[in-house]
Amino acid sequence: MKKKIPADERQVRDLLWIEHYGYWGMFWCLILTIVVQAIRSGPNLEILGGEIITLAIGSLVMCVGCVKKGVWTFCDQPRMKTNLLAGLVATVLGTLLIVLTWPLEVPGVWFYVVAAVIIFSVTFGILTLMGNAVKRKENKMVDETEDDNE
Amino acid sequence: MKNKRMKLARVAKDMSQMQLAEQVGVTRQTIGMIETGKFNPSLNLCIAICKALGKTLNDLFWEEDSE
Repeated sequence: MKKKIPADERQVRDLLWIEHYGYWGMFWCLILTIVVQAIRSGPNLEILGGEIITLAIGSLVMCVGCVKKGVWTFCDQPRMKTNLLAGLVATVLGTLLIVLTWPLEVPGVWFYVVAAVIIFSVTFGILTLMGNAVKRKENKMVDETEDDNE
Repeated sequence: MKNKRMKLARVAKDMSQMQLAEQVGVTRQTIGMIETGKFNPSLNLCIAICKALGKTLNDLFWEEDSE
């Protein structure tokens, strides 16, 4: 009888690699789907609700996971400059999407300005809060391992 | 980089990759990939392999600069 071997550390590494690319592939496809559907049918939550909730859940899991583990990204540490840049990129893309999808009978240009300010505030605020939480977790981990270094 | 010392130690003990794999709790492919240098094992797995082959970490996994 052949002995059943559970996934060993190499297989776990390979599976994580596959899941990493699978997750990010799905993530960007989901965003593309939302953008295309929003442009085609307008800001209709009945059509986009499922995709938006799925995206929110995936993003929330990533955020909570990063904060709990005290990690940020593969290539950078949390810093104000990148938070500002990411906030600006999100603002430009988000506002562009609203301009493309929102009906023409909006109250005025100020509507887009308010939307842009809200997008920037939320994006920058979340990134800053997350960055601070990650740094706090990193410091806590340093404190917890301090005795081991003595 | 290929791990010839691990392969030599395994052959000297008259063990197949499958036998070593079962003893340390991984798949045969993983042992093969360690020997061919395509996978870097964790310290725990290195220690398990050393114990199975009756060698030390230095014997199997330490690389001198000149090598």
